[in-house]
Amino acid sequence: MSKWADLPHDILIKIIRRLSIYDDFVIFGAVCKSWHSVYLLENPPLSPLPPRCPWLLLAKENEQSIKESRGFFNLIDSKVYNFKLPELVGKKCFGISFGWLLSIGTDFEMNLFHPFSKHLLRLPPQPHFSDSDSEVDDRNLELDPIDYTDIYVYKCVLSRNLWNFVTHEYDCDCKIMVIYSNYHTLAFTRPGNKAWINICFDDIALYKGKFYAIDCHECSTEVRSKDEYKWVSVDGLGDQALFVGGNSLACLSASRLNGWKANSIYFTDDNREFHHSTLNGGGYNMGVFSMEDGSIKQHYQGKEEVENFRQQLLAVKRHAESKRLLIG
Amino acid sequence: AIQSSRFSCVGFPLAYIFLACKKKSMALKLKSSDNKIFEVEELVAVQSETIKSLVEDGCANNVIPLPNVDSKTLELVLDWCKNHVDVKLDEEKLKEYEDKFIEVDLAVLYDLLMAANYLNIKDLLNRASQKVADMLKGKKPEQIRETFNIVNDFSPEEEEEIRKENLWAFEE
Repeated sequence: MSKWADLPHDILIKIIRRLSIYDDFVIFGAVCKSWHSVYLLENPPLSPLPPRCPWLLLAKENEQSIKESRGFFNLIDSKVYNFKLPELVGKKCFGISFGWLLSIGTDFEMNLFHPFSKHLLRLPPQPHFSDSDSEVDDRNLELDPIDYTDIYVYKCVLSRNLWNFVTHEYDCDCKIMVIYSNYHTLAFTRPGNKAWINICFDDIALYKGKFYAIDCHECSTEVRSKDEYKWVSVDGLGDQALFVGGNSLACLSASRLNGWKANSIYFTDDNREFHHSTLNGGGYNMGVFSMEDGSIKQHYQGKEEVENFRQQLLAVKRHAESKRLLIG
Repeated sequence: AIQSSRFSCVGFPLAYIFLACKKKSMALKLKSSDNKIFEVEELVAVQSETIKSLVEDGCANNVIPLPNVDSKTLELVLDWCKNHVDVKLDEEKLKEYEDKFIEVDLAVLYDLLMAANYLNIKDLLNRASQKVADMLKGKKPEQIRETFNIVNDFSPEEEEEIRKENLWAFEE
């Protein structure tokens, strides 16, 4: 027996709590019996640890082979793994970042859920309810709840990791921003807030070449003039792989991991309006676009029985390790 | 007020103990497992919660024996403590010091972990644990066992069971 295997449990707990990637957490438990017992004590992990690489959350299949489980496609080994996630039964999900999913139930309940660590943060009900006198609401209320969840929220982005890894608490400074409704309205909330705050602009002014929009909460928000974000042609992305689609935009370095294609764009189908009018729902328009030779290859070649349910990239890396790329 | 526990601990006259408690930053004597005596300022030594509680209980007037820490490790630990007395130190410099301090071989890292745990020095324990966690990053179980000289004590069935639970994490 080695002395490292026999480290006192309180030291091993200190060590396992300092791991920052979920993969490493799992591996920790497979080293030896003593470490495994500490892994069992600490599972699920104290903090929501992101996986090392992005996973593609597959559409819920009509005939689920395993009840309460969801399929995830691993981009590294190109295999599908099923995870038992009863928390997501009947919910629509979006991949966000840092390993978080936004789940929306037919009861309009919205949660941020971390499928690996099982952390769950309840969000205020859908933004629509905080503003019930607008015309938009009346239109949307005519929809069946299932359709409603399908079209209502288009995108969700976090301003930073939801979790403070030092205090082991939700970070109240994190803004959770969504685009919702047919009018693509912006709204945000923070952990612990009871409602969504719509960002509507009441006035707009030009000052020193920049547009400033004034919202109803008396804070000014800078709206950059069009020519400040110039579209730039690029020949390649170098070592980076770009992830676009229904998930939060992410750009990750491909060289650190085998199996990813550098200089490529991984995309998923987020054109949801058309999902309803296609034969088998939507979500098939996915693949990897190579910037080098212009070819498109499929990454996930799934079965046909997917409902009109978005397939989402679960973009994952910790903020420090991922670069947000602003193209355009 | 002097508590009665202080009398029972060391049989010193009341006045002596009273003086000892009053005087700040006196020197403490620590004895390592290999019987070396280290004379250190109280302010440095009380960063160890273990030593701090001995001092507070009035048990630190004699030499404090530390049977779980050898002199080589104790020297390192005390160096860490000296550099952490004034927490208002330049943060960048302190980080630089810590990073350099923790660049040690595995045997020393192990001794530091055990000493920091026994002496209850939180920042040192955190830094040493972080160092181990960093060394586990991206490794497979076999590589970790090799690095830390750990014997695989799972039966083949147990190992299979563990892998099956999270097959994806074990893929090459």
